[in-house]
Amino acid sequence: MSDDNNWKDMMSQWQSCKIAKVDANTGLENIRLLEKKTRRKARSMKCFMWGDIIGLIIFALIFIYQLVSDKENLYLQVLLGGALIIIIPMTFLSVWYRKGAWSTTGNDTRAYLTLALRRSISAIKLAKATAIMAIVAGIFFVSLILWKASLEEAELLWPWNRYIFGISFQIGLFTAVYFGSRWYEKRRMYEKIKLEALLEELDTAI
Amino acid sequence: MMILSLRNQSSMPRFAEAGTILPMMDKQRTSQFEQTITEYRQSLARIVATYEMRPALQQELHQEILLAIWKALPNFRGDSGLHTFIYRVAHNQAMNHLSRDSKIPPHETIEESLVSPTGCPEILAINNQKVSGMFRAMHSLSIIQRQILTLALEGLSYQEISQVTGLNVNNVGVRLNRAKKALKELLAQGNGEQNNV
Repeated sequence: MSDDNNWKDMMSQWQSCKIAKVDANTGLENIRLLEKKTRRKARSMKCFMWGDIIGLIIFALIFIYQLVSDKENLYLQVLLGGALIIIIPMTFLSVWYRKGAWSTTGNDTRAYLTLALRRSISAIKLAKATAIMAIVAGIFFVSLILWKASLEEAELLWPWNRYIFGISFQIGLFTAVYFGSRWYEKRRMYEKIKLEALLEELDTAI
Repeated sequence: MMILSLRNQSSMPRFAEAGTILPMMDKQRTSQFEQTITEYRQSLARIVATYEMRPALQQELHQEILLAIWKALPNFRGDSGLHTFIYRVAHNQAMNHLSRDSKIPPHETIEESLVSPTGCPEILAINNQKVSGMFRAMHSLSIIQRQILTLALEGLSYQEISQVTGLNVNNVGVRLNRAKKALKELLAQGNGEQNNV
């Protein structure tokens, strides 16, 4: 009985507790601005995915056109072929890994956490694939430039040489992509661990 | 020709209606949101204070919750009570906020990292000393215990807590009793420490 009274007392104190300064930055105008921002972000994410697919189609068309029209230019064919070999699996994986991570099966905390977990797992897989792609693509494009330089018997002299510039650019670009995706993977890994802990707590020990 | 003219006739007023209906719907949505927020302002602030102790992130979480409610409100079909719906959205958003926070290293538990040395949230200043102690004590509990306890303190029934969390009703009862016991122990400890000082 006293426990019950104690709990009721706690409840009434809790519900009557006034928390100051809750209005700062929470007006409707501000919420509308935030909504615009998140909508823009979501749109750019969608554009990015569609850009991936459209880019792949355009690239494939250019490649087919080059194969048919210019059978002499082996360098261009290798370049386009290699790029296609890298882009096709990446596009496929970016869609495949997102499977089941689009919508929730319910509205409760468990469903919400499960969806968040699926999303972080797919992001981790994608980041891993991107890191591997960066290494493969980096090696491929640098070798291609070196091959082109050897075909043209060019001297690789620093710094005023387009081959040296090309190699440095490729190394810089793919190193950035590699470390960027590893950083992203680590961030999402933290998230995954936390979500797993929350779900475990929800599922185990009554 | 006849079909075309009929189609034109019917589509004209439809466009005209759309021009008036859309702002009306927006107005309705806005007033529904403002009403809801006015009603649940303090409850939402308490949820924020329960999940987030760092002052800089409290406003952020509050905004995220309001945005989630603004987005979700048009989907409210009345399957559950409005308060259950609002608490569900708020708690889910708070969970999302906690899991997304990359500043907390994985070896540290979320609970450890959220305990503020000052105890009471600074931005969301609490006027009641006893409730301030409750907030402090709740931050030592696990996230799920905290969630169930907050919902119960806000006056939700077992059935409603079960709808928010996805746990079954019996499970909610057992967990809530354990959480109450843990909270009581923590409050007693806190009082003891204060008396010693």
